[in-house]
Amino acid sequence: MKNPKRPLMLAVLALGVFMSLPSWGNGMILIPAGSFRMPAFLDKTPRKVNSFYLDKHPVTNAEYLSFVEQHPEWHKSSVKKIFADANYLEYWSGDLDFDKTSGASSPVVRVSWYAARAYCASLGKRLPVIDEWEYVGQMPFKDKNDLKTVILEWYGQSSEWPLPSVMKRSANTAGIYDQHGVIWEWVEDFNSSMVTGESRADAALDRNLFCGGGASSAADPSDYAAFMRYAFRSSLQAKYTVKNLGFRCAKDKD
Amino acid sequence: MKVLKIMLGILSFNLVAGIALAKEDHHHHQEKAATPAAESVKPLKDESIYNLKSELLTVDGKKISLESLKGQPVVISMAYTSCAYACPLIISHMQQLEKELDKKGVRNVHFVLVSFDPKKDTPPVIKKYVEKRKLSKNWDFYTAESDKSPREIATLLGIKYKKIDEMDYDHSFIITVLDSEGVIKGQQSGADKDPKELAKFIKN
Repeated sequence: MKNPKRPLMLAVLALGVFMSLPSWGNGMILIPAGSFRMPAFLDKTPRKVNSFYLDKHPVTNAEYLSFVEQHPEWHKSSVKKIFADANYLEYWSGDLDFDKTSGASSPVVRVSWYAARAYCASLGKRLPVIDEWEYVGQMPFKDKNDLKTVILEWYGQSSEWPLPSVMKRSANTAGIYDQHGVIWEWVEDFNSSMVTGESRADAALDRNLFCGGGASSAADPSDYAAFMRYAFRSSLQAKYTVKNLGFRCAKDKD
Repeated sequence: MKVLKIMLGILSFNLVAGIALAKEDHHHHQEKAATPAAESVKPLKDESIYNLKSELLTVDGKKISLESLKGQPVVISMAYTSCAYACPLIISHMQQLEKELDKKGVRNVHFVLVSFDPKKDTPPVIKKYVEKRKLSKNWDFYTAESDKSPREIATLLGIKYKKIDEMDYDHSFIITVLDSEGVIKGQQSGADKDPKELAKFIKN
């Protein structure tokens, strides 16, 4: 903060780089405002979501490489321990070299919440919040594939490696790719699902999350899938890196 | 440890030299004296939560960096002013710890709260709350310009929270002790624990 102009300069620079390199290609899509019903185990009342921009596909290895080239503090050899666990970018062969077998256009994984956030911030973006992610995630596919089937099939599989390229499957009706079926994704408020019962409030939420989830799974398989996502998020710590956990960025409309 | 001592030696030598050089410049001299050299020069440890470049707002609306808490042990948790049950309990736990430390003659500890609810907890709202709850001069209750800083501080303290409606949050009950460099020394979670036990993590 010694030089107050620096963040501004960086922002302008980042914007310049971003605009001069349309080949990065991760276009954003304006998601219309609307509401969605939370999975039954949490809260059945519809939740409103404002209009916002969301990356068309998860951030890829190539895109993440451009970021670490500009931000050496996020090299795998120099990242601070509190911001990423020891397996950060574990599959990359070097600081500036991702594993060629996993491909430039495969989603980047093994990144912590802090890293994902720093990436988005470097482009003037942010991580989506759970509500935004789930709202878009409930939109049906453009083709006839049934959302529930795709999700549950994927949850039932052992994870694929190397990861496939992004945008190989059908987009949803908003034009968003790969929310289900390839990787899990970080969200800004991942730490808002309680699982460790530290207070009475936590305990109540736990009951909703687990008992409710278990009970509703028989009636509605899509709720079961959502339950898996909420439970997975709540098991995370911000510095964790996971082999099938990546991210995409969002942005406010204005 | 030895290396650290040598480094500190070099730093204090530099400070003396710096003051000697700045003798003519009274203001500069004062500034130097106010900032211990070890704090301003020594890089942060990797484990320090002060690596986080979060910005907070004081009750007077002044922007400060999280890193500015460096220099003395900190007892930290999160709360919000319209919280009816858990937060007053968290504060009361921290006050019990303050009393215990005071009994032991440990008085250089900074008690810090960060609001979950920056939207409603504006600096004036917090100022009123701090007065009402009679928090001592060792306390600071910070807020922020947006949800960004509270969210990232919470991740480092292992605190989970969720807005449940316009008034309330579900949140963890965790009190953390940081050393003077911002490294987590001890934590206590749950309202059923004895906060006095946290005193062992604070060196006099």
